[in-house]
Amino acid sequence: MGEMLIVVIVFMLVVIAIFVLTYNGLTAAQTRVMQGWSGIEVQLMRRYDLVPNLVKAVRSAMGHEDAMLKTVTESRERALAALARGDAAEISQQEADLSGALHKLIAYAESFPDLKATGNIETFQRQIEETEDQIAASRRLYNGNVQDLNRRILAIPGNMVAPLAGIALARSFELDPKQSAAAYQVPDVDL
Amino acid sequence: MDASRTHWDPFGRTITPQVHRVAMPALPIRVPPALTSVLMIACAVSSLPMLVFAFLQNPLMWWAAGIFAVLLALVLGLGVLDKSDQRRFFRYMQLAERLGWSFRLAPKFVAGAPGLSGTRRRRAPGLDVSRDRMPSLMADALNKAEAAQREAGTVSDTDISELQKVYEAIPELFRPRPGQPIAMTVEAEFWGTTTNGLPFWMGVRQVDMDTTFASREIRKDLHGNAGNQGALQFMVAGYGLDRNTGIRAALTAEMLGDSRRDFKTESTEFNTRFHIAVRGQEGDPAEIEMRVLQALTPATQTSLLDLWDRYRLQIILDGATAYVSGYERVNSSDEAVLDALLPQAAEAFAAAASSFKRYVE
Repeated sequence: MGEMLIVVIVFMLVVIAIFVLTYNGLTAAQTRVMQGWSGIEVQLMRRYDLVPNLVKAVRSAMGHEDAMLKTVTESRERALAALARGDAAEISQQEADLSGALHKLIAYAESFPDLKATGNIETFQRQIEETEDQIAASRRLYNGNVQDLNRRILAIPGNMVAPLAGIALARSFELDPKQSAAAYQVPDVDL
Repeated sequence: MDASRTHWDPFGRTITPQVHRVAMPALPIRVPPALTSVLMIACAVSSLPMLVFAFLQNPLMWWAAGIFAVLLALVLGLGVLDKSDQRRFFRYMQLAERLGWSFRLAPKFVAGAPGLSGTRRRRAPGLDVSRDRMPSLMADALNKAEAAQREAGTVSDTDISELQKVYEAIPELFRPRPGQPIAMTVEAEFWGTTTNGLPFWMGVRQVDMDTTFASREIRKDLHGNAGNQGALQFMVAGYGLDRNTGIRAALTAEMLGDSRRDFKTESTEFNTRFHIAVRGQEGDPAEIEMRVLQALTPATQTSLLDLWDRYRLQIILDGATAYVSGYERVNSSDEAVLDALLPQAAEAFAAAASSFKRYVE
């Protein structure tokens, strides 16, 4: 009877230890997913901060082309709003729209000799391209974290612990095919 | 080459432009790779009866031992007749001449080098005291062999202290690690400039590879080459960044069960691959950690991850110098394919080294 009790106690301790270790692993993975998302937000904010300076730099030369500048500004506002809501799918779409608008604006602004001579456009183009590289990289790192978390949740014993701990599968941050094509399309420049 | 110029060298050595002359191997006997594989299998298989008969103290063990010895001698002898070392060094020389790099061979045994290369004491050149005690025939044969090697250009004249500086400066990059079970040593050194004007030094070692007994994954490399013969190319490079990054850190391979304290970035994948640690820098640990992590931008992390996939990359940042090491497996004996490895690695490693500099700028 005493031996039975010891066996039961040891078994329960083992189960508790497995639960604790699995729970800690899941929460650590979840934290890294949130960290990864923060990394994406940081890079997105860097790009949003570049847009007003770019618009200011080209407005004086482009003058009557307010429609294009207005498109860029509105895209930025929509992207900021989507980021505030935290909806990954909407953020993805707004980011693709903003990328397209920015590339069109830069390509069009390059046709103004005064602007081209100052080198401002090239500087902004470089900064925007660098930021977009960082956004793409942040997205890749975030998706890696999501895969790690989802793998832990779907594997044993995570699939038993996660529902108890209220930890759900995370969604990757991917562009859908249409948005991906739009983001990488060479912009049409209407002169 | 202009002898008044010197190459940039990360170890403070004075290196004038030079290309070590290696003679074209005369009449190497190239054995079909399949025959080498068959001989190796036969050698391995023949060792079993030898061991069994020896255990049973059966007189047949002498026949088995004789067969094993003959097969082993054939395998080793074919390697000598193949003149693979000389062919490889000749290729290095041609590569250096084609790319405008400097090249020299490294001594085989260097005290302080990792692994077996550091254990054997190097005899001082010209000193043949031990040969005085040998039978004259043997001493003559050894002297002739050494003279033939010098004429072929397969012996290095570099002082071992030159290589000792390398091993002492960056020992972490030569040690065995996951995927690289043997310590790396340098058999040849190159100096040059990348296409972006970054000066570099590179130490290399290439070992021939036979994957006959290996799994399917090992018999195919990342470039789609598939075959039982190929090469494993080990590379360590140093790059002179034109700006002091202010960072002294090492990004080395994460070992299983690694209990060493290291920094973590926001990426699970990156933390799994790399162990990030400060290297010989004093100051506030939190501030140092922040500076290192700031330099590891998402784009830097993803480019390092891509290079890890191909080369199992490791990096040491030391202020204005970045050291990068890696290895590559190529399942091809085609010399054109093997020749492309070094310049590709030089450019890829340079991109990794420069990514830290870009952030600081």
